[in-house]
Amino acid sequence: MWSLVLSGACFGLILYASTMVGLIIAKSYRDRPRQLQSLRTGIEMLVTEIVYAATPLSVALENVSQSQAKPVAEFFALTGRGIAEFRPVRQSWATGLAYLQTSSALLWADLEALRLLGEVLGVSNREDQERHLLLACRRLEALYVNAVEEAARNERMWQFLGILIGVVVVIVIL
Amino acid sequence: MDKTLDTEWTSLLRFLPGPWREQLRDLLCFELRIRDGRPLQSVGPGGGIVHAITATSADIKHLVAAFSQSSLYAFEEELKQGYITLPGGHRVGFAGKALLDSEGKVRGLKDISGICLRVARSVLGCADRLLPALLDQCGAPYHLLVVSPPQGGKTTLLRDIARQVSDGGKRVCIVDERSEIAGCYQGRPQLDVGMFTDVLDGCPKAQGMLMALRALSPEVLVTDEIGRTEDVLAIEEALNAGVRVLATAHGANLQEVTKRPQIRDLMERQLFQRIIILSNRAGPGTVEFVGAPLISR
Repeated sequence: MWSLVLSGACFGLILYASTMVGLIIAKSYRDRPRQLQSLRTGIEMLVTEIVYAATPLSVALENVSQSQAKPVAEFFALTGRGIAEFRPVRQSWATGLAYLQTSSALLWADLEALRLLGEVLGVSNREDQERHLLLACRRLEALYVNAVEEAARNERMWQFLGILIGVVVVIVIL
Repeated sequence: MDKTLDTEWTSLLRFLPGPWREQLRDLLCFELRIRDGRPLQSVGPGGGIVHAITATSADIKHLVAAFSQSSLYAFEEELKQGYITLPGGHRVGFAGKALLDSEGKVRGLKDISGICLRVARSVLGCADRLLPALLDQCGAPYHLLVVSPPQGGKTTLLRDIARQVSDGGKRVCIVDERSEIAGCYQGRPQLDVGMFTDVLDGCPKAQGMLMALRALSPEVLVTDEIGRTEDVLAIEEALNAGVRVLATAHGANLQEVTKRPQIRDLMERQLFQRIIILSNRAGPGTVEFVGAPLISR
C-alpha cells in the first residue's frame, strides 16, 4: 500500500518537474523577443539622450532604465551606476551584461552584439556615437526577427514536450 | 586655512586616481597641473609645489574619463575650446593633439597628455570697497570696464559686482561664453552670481547679448573679455536699449587695452562711465585705478 503511494508520488513529481522544465524553456523562447525589443528601444532612447540632448552617460542610462521593464531596466541602471562611480565604461557595461546573462532569456549572440557597444560608448563625438548606436540597433533588430521565428517554432512545442517527456519517463519506469 | 579652498579641493579629490587621493588630501591649491610622465605641479597660496607623484598615461586616461563622466560627446563644444567645466564651476584644461575639421578649425583634442585643473571659488565681498564708486544715485551700476592682465582677478571681481547688483534687486543677465563668470554646470550657475541673475552659458558674447536683450529684458548685462567688432556692436545695441553693461578686457593698463581699435572706439565715445584697472602687484585683485576713464583723443 505504502509503496504504491510512494511510487505515485514519485511519478507525480517526475511529471511536475518535466512540465515545469518545458514551461520554463517555453517562457525563455517567449521572453527573448520581448527583451530584445526592450533593449532596442532602450538603445534608441540612448541615441536621443546622447545625440540630441548630449546627456552624460550615467544620467542617460539612468533615464533609459526608468522607461524599460526588468531585466533590461536593471542592465541600464547597473551600467549607469558604475559609470557614475568613476568605473570605466567597458567594465560597467560588462557588469550590466553579466547581470543580463544570469537574469534574462537572452543568448550569448545577443549579449555579444551589445558587448561591442561597450567598447566605444562615450569615447567619441555625437556623430560617431550615433553611428555605433544605430549599428547596435540594427543588430538587435536582426536578432529580434530571428527570436520571433524561433519563438513561433519552439514555444508551443516546449509547452507540450515537457509533459510528454515526463509521461514517457513514467512509462519507461513502469 | 582657507576654508573655501579647502572645501572646493575636497570636492575635487574624488576625480583623482585612488592612490593620489591620500597624498593630496591636505593640499591647498588654486591649480593642479598633470602631465604624462612628469611630476604633478600645484600652485597654492604658498606658491608652487612639485609633488613626488609622476602621472602615467593610465592616470591621464582615468582623469579624462572621470572629468568627462566617460561622455566626451557631452562636452564636444567645450572641448573645441580645450576645456570642460566640472560641477562646482571648476575648470579642466587639456593639452594634446588638435583634431581639425575640413575648414581647419579645431573640432576636438586627442592623445591628451596634459591636464590643468583650476579650482573655482568666489571671493564674496571682493567688490565691497569699490561698489559705491560704481553705482549711480538710483543704485544702478554705471557702464563698467574692468581691465586686468591674466590671473589678475577681473572675472572674480566682475562676478561679485554682478552678485551684489543682482541681490540689490536689479535684473542681471550674464552672457558667459566660456563658463568662467558663473561656472555653470549643465546650465546651472555653480558660483554665487546673485538672486536675480539669468545666465546664458557657453553662448558667444555678441549673439548672447542680443538674445538676452530680446528674450530676458535685463537691466544689467554682464560679459567677459570683450574685444571683437561684433562685441562692440552688441554693446552699442545694449546701450541703446537702456541696459547697463559690465564687461572686462585683457590688458595691463588702459593704454594697452586701447591699442585694440574696437575697445579704443568704445573708450573714445566714452561709452564706459567707470573703469577699474587691476594688477598682480600685491597679489591677484590689486586695484590700481577706479573711476571715470581719462583718455586723450
